[in-house]
Amino acid sequence: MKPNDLLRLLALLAALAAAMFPSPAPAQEDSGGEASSEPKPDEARPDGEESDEKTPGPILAIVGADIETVTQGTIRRGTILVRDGTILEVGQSIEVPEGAEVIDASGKVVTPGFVAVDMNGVGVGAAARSRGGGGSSNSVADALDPFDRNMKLCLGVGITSGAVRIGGASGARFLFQPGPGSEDEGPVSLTVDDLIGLLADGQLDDETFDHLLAHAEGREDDGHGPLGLFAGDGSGLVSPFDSRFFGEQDRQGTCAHCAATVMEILPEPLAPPSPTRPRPDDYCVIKLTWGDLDGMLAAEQPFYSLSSSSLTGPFNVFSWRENLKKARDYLEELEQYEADKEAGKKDIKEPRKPVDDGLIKLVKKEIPLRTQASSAEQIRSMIALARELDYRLVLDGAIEAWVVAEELGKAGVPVVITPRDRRRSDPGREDSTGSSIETPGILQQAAVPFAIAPLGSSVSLVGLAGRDLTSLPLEAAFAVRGGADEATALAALTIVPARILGLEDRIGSIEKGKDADLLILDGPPLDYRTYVETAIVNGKVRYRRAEDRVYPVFDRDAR
Amino acid sequence: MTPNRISPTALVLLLGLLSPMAAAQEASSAEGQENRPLAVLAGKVITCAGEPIVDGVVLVRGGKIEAVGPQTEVEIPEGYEVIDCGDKFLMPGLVEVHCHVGGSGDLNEMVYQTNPDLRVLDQVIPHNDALQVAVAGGVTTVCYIPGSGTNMGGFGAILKTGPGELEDVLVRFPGVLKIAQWGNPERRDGTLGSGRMGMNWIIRDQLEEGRAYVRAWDDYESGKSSERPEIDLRLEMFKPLFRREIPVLVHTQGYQGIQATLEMLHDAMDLRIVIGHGTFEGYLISDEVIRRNVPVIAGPRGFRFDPDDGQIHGIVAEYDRRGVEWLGVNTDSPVIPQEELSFQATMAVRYGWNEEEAIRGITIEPARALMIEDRVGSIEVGKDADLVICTGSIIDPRNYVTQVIIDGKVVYDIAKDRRRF
Repeated sequence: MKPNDLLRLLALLAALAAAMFPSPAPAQEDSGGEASSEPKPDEARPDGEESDEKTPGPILAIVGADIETVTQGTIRRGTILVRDGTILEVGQSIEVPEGAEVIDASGKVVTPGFVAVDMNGVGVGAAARSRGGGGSSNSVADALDPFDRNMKLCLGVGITSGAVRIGGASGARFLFQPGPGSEDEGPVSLTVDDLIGLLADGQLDDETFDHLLAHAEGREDDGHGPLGLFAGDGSGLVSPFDSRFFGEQDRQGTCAHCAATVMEILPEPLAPPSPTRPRPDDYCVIKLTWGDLDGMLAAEQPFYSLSSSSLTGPFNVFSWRENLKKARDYLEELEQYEADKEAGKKDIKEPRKPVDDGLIKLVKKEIPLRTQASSAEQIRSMIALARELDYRLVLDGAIEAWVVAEELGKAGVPVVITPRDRRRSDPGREDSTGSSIETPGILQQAAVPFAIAPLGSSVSLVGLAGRDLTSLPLEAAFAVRGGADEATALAALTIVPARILGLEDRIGSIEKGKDADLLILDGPPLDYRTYVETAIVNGKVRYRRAEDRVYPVFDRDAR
Repeated sequence: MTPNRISPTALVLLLGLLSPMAAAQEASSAEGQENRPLAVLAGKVITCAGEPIVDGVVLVRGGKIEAVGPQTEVEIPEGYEVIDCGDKFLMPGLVEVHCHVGGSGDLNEMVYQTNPDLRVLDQVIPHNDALQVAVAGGVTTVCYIPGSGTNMGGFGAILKTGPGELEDVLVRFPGVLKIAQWGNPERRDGTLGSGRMGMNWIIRDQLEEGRAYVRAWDDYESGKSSERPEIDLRLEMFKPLFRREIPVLVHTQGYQGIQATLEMLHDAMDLRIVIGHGTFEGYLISDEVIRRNVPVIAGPRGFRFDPDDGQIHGIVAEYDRRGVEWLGVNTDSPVIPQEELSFQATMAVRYGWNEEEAIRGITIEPARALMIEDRVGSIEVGKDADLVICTGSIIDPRNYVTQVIIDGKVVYDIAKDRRRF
């Protein structure tokens, strides 16, 4: 098995990117399901791209719906005007200008688009899985895929933006057991880059690729254990989804979805983490601008993401303190250097940056630290550490947050919770350990801002309903079950995650001047029967239930 | 058989040895509750046997339902403890056909390809941690079955989820036979049974042996034959099966699998069957299912992504659309946590099923499939008093269960217990 190079894939992406930025405007016409909200080529782009900014585009008006603004209450039968991707006006008595395209949403509900704090493998191509990571100079922008099918599946449940992890599997190795017809004697070791090459060659299908990566990334949420090794079957490299060998069927075994024997290896060599450098996971925020690369990348490194293990134990905490101290010292030296330079001093040397850019941003409080803390003890120690070292904090998977709600509320630390997350309580300590279905209500009482994450952070098509990324609004319904009111649960899908991503000025609520990321729903947002009829991102219609038909289309009243 | 851990009650009793008074009090209060007849009032009583009753009342005596009707018509006799649930919904306890969390998890003995001699009865742990949470999800009856590691995993037991010893919670044993016809039991080492042909041969061969055994006994017992057959423990439990007193719960899916299930188990072997998964594209042979009037209690997968049309299809909705009426959902717990049985129905409705049918699909339809509809699955006079009180329709995940009554006893009450789901 020859290791395949990345070049082919990069060439492919480059070709795709070229196709996405056509110089003549008319090519835009086939870029999605949007109606005439698209500026007419001759109106909006008379002289090419340059004059776009100066001439205001056409206006889209959404009228008649009950508007859940999230930050400013509900507007009954209101009107929203959208222009150039942003919200121009919102209110009850807004006049619709002549010539505006009008969407009549009478009897419907309009909410801001939902924001996913974790959106694994959505809107990014294969390259995103291995690129990036800890100060890499590779650009996320090269890995965006505006035609990723997962985007439609997410838009269909209301997700219009979210944080995507880059390079999560870069350390993994995959061992394929050669089948009877293969030339190889022993198992073949492949890297993620090799797999990307095979994918580009057409030797590996998308589903298998995603499956392998799910293993490498240890995405247990969709049934894939943290395994780095995968043995194929049949002749040479064979997909477990290859219908010549396997039908669509229920497989439990080691991996619920593989035909193959799965053995465990460590994705990284066994060595203590370096005391000098933290290794953050790389994230970016993308908007689900189906068909449009333009405006898709909303932010890079929205937070500083570290695993909980890298902040646990005396050695790791020591390293963390040291690193933050280095970052602060550097900033002081830099200030001194700049002052000296200003003063015309000679023989001064620009200080060398001792840590990655993200850590500098963290110290400057431009971004928060995001890490996992599930037990009350972990939550307490993360709050204490953040207070001591003076940075902003976001806690994921805060299962026992209900135990320390008061402390979280006082510290103003937002948490990410999954209402259906379960953890057994310690025997005899039921009152202070384990998960509680009432966590959302308790957090609301204690004024702890929380965002909802579904049970799985990626789109899964294996058939288990209501457990993957596309169950986000249903998970929020469980927050209501757990005692939160509907407004708080809706905020947990919108403005709170927007703040966690540092994008509250742009997304998460319906306000004048914000991005026009809007949902037209056929019922209340947290009703399990409600479907997204239309999803608008950056002012354009990106999804229509009746046309896209990714989810069942039927008339409920006729049922 | 006793649970292999010390329950809080046992602890109390243990302490009671030191303090006889306390023990006596504990025992008497438990006894008192058991015997006290109840009148449960609710804003809406969903009986699953006719139209819902607005402002209804259910009378419970001796663990059974004594009366049900509107509050204006049913008089509450003196001495009944009144549980007034205000405007909440009252419904029958939920019934699960496909559960693997009724005891210790060792449910696959994979020495033989068929294991009709095995029984989960040896594994049961009444009211274990998983079942305690299941109660909070309104699940009061489960069919606890062996795994699908072999073509015939053994015989399952039908249990109540509430507290008690095995004899208190056992509804029926043998409850069902578990047959797995597809997927999991395939042998990949080249022996017979690596594909459907082999697996179907193995199942058919075993059933033929069992049928011959049961016929020999039937002939002897009816006097047709004077020769008393030898007792074969390995085949004994086939007796209720071939006498159609219990069904086969079949791990079968996809149209090929369901076709084989219908033709072999239903047509050729004349067995009562329950399609225990029915997933993937199985709904494509709905007409064959309808012709034989066989129940499909689908799950744990709730949808199928069809690569041909790029669409998500709700499994139950597709059967429903094609006219299958005997429908329900399962969790295959712990694949889906047992307490989320109602959520499986939620998702089925989201994908196009009907809410009323969905409530039947987690109560009376699985009860009929398991052939225990004379005891559970609906609120009717004479049936077990397994009742669930919910803040609204249980299909809406925003609502939650506040009280659960099993066999006339309150086993969960959020006014006293910590909310578990």
